[in-house]
Amino acid sequence: MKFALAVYGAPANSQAPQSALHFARAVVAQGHEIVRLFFYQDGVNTATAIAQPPQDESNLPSEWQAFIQENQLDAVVCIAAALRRGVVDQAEAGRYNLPGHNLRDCFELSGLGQLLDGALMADRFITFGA
Amino acid sequence: MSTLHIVNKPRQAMELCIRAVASGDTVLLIEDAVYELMSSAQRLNVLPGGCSVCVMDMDAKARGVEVSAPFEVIDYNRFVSLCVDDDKILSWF
Amino acid sequence: MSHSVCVISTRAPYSGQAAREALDTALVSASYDIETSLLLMGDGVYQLLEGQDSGQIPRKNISAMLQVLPLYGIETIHVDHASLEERGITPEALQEGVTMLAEGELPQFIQQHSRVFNF
Repeated sequence: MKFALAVYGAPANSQAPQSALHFARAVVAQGHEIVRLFFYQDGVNTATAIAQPPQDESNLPSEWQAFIQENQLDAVVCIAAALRRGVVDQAEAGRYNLPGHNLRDCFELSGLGQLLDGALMADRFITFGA
Repeated sequence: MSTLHIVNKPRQAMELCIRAVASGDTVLLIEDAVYELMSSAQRLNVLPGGCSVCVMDMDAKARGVEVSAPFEVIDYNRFVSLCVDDDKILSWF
Repeated sequence: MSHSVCVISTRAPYSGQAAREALDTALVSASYDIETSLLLMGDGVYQLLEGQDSGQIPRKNISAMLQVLPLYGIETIHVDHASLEERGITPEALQEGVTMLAEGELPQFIQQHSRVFNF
C-alpha cells in the first residue's frame, strides 16, 4: 500500500516529527511504500542541518536524514513555509542574498502542490499535526 | 467506509474529533491526547456506538497515564495496520 | 478517479501561520481544478468575523483572503455551527457566503470528499 505523510510540527515544540518517524519506520517494516514525505508549517524545522540538541537528547533532523537516505525517500519541504521560518537551500540563499543555508541534503524545497500530489497518489494520507 | 481518527491533544482536538466521528470509526489517542483518559473519559463516553478507542502505548507510558479496558493499547505496527484497514485517516490537533 | 478535497481549518486567524497555511492548501487544491471545500471548526470560526483590521498588528487579512475564494471556484465556506454556539457567535457576526453544518451533518459532509487535509 502507498502512504504519504505530512509533518506540521517542529522538533522543539511538538512531538509530531518524532511520532511521524516511528510511524514511517513501521510502514517500511511492514513492506508498504512511502511515496512522499511533506514537511509543512513548523514541520519545516525538521529539515535544518544546524540544530544541535544536547548529546543526551535525540537529534530528530539527523535521524530523519538517515531514515530518508536509507530508504531513498522523496522528502519535500514546503518552500514558502521554509523561507518564512529560515530554512533555505543554497539556491534560495543565493536568490535572496542570505548569509547562509541550512537545508539537509536529503530534503528538497518545493511547492505546496507536492502535498496535494502526494496525498492524491497515495492510498493513505496521514498528517502529524503540531 | 470507516475512518481512523488520530487525536494528539486533549480538549478542543478531542471535541472536534468526536463531532466528526461516525459509527464504526476508530479513534486513536496519541501524544498529549492520552490525558483524555484522566478526565473520567467523559468526552470519550459520547462516542457513537460501534466505535473503538485505541491508545498509543509509548505515549501513555511516557506520561504516566494508565490505560484500562475497554481501551486497546497499541504500538506503531498496529497503528499502521489500522491505517490499512480504514480507508481514510483524519488527524485532530 | 476524480478527487475532491476537504480542508479543515481549526485555528484562529492571527496566532501563528496555521490559518493562512490551511487556506493556501485549499487555494492550491482549487487551482488544480479539484473540487475543494473549506470547513472551519473550533477556533477556526474566528477567521470569519466581520470587521477584521489586521493591518493593526500588522498581518495580512484572512477575512479578505476568504472573500476571494469564489474566484477559485470555492463558492461557499462551510462552518461547524456548534463551534459558533460554543463561542457565543451568531451567524450575523460573520461575513457572507457561509453554509452552516448542524451537528450530525459533519461526518457525512467530510466523508463525501476523497481526501481530507486537517489543519
